[in-house]
Amino acid sequence: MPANVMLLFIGMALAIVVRRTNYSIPAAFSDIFMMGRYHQLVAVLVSIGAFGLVNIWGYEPCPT
Amino acid sequence: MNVDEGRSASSWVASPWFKPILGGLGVGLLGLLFYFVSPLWSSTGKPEVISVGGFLANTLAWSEKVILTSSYLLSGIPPILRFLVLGIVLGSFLDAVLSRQLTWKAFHGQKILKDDLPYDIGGGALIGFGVLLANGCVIKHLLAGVPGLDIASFVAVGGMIIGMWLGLKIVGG
Repeated sequence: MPANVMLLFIGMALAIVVRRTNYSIPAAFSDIFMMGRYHQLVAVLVSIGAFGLVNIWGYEPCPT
Repeated sequence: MNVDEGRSASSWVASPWFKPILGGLGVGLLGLLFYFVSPLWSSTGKPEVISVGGFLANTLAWSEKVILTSSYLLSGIPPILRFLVLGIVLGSFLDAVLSRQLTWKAFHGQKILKDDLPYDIGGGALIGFGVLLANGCVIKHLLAGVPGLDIASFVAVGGMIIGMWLGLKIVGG
């Protein structure tokens, strides 16, 4: 599959996942300051955990 | 699967935690997929992390140079990543059409292009400024930098939390 088509599908999948699950990074931040509302914070922590698997393959951060 | 297991599965799906966890897992795994296929277009041949805001900011800087100086300078970001942004817009649009939810929307109690306009412009400008200042968007820093143990991303996310706290204090939740 060409790289541009693959990227298009990744973008579309991201949009659908975010829309269907109401995933929200800003809501995760505001969860920190609103006691008792932690759904989005947990969602973002799960994302961090899932992507954190890259460390298994020796991920090197970009020089920022 | 017996009846009790079926009930337990359906109660888990109905739980308020199901969608957030599914969303978090989906976004994290798609970021991981991006990482593994990125050598296909990466100039160095090494994997890259997903980033949307940084790409948009660089495209804007590139456009400004093209318009003002008529010189075609490379932004350093592969133009192929435009397909990622196109996919996000297209995916949202198609999903909204298929689920029959495509309509003009505004936050509760606000009128489109009236009450919320200054907030949209101001907030959008601050996001764009922050992306340039922090050398990356919230996706790159929070979903790729932090799990990759990038120290700069931890600092940037700390700044985002302070910014969110200030925002809540100034405009409310």
